[in-house]
Amino acid sequence: MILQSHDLVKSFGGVTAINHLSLEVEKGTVFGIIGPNGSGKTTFFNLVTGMFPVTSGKVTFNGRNITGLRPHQIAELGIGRTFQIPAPFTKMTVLENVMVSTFIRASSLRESRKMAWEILERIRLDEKGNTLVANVTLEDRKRLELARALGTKPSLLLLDEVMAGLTPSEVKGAIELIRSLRTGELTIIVVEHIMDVILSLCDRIAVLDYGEKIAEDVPDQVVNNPDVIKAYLGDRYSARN
Amino acid sequence: MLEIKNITVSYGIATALWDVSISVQNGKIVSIIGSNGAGKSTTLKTISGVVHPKSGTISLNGDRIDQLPPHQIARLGVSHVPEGRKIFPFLSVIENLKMGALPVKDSKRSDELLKNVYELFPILQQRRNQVGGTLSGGQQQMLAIGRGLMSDPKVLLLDEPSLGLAPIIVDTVFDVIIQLNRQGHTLLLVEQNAYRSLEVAHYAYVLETGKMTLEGEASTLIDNPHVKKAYLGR
Repeated sequence: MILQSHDLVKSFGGVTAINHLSLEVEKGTVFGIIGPNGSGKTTFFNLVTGMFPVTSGKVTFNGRNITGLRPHQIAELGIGRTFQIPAPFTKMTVLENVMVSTFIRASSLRESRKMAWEILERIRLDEKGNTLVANVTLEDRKRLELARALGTKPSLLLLDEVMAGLTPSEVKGAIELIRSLRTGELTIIVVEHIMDVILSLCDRIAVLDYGEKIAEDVPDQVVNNPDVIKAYLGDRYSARN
Repeated sequence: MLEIKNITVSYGIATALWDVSISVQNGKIVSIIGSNGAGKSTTLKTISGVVHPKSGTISLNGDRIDQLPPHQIARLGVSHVPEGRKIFPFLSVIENLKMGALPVKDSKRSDELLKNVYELFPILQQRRNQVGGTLSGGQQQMLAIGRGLMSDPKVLLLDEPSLGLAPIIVDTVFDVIIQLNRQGHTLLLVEQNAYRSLEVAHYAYVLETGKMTLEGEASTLIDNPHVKKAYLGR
């Protein structure tokens, strides 16, 4: 197991955002997390990456307890993430933005630039490398968000709604892109509301509701689970598909 | 009726809309679809006066509105529900709704409007004293639409109301759109969820890199081969 959470709890004042959550993610897989808005998906990412302190429970990465480590330490250990609302440096170029990330692994400006170009090529954003971020489209900003996460050379990548706001045709391209990242070396956890994305990428899916895991299974089973239909998908989703 | 005629809109040297015309008949749902960066949000911002067209005209029931400031356009009956909800995170639900009602001077009317919003979104009544920023994404979207309705609009502009919402909440949002239309509201809808938006709309326009390339009955566009390939991903 590359990532495990054991009985994880996070409370904000009187609200329990994550309620005794235990998850296990196997190395090399794509693991999906779905659930209603406010069910704790992003909070889970924030706990794993050390953005928020946990209330109780622990997180282990490759068997090592990482609970309580600082976000930059967790990034150094190999967990990369994207943010739901990208906040790139708009007055810098696409390349420079990625270099900010690659510096965590590079010892010189030259090396960090080289690594950044490689990532841009890998996700087919190299043509925009020298463009100021202020001038790129939302689709490219979403790609840049992915590039910045890949810049830290993660072995575990957390993707938080990287496809929100894309048209269905753009989503298709983005699915292909993420599929191409799947090399066996990289484990990916995907939070997404677009079910086409979840179903076409994920090996396993966990469903959260009010911070608790209400289901975890392979995609076909999850979409037919009555609790999941009730809490998240809706009757009409199952009728349509 | 909202009539947009041949508008061209630029941000500095970059032109976002070229000679775009849209007609929204009273009582209809009209949808604009297009890729990211095609100019959909710019179209809505130009209607609500956040940006002004370089040329062309916009009129509401015959009166020109294209050079008016946003608050006057709102008072004349155009309500803009922006992308990303943009609720006031530190105000309570009821305070957010009351901000929307500022253009309405008749307090009896604003009470009626509030009652209607609570009927559409019972959760907002339950949470009326909760601070907006602590609502879930779906509830914030309902609050944004509710706030938009509080100004008693003749035309409601909805920018990506289903963005980032759980499937079951997306269903609710589209149900509300249909329900508002049945109540007599006129809606201009911008959506990435092109299929769902064409399902509920009467008429639709396709924007591509700032130009209007296609228009027609929504039920026809949904079967158009180009629309299917480029926007529906089928």
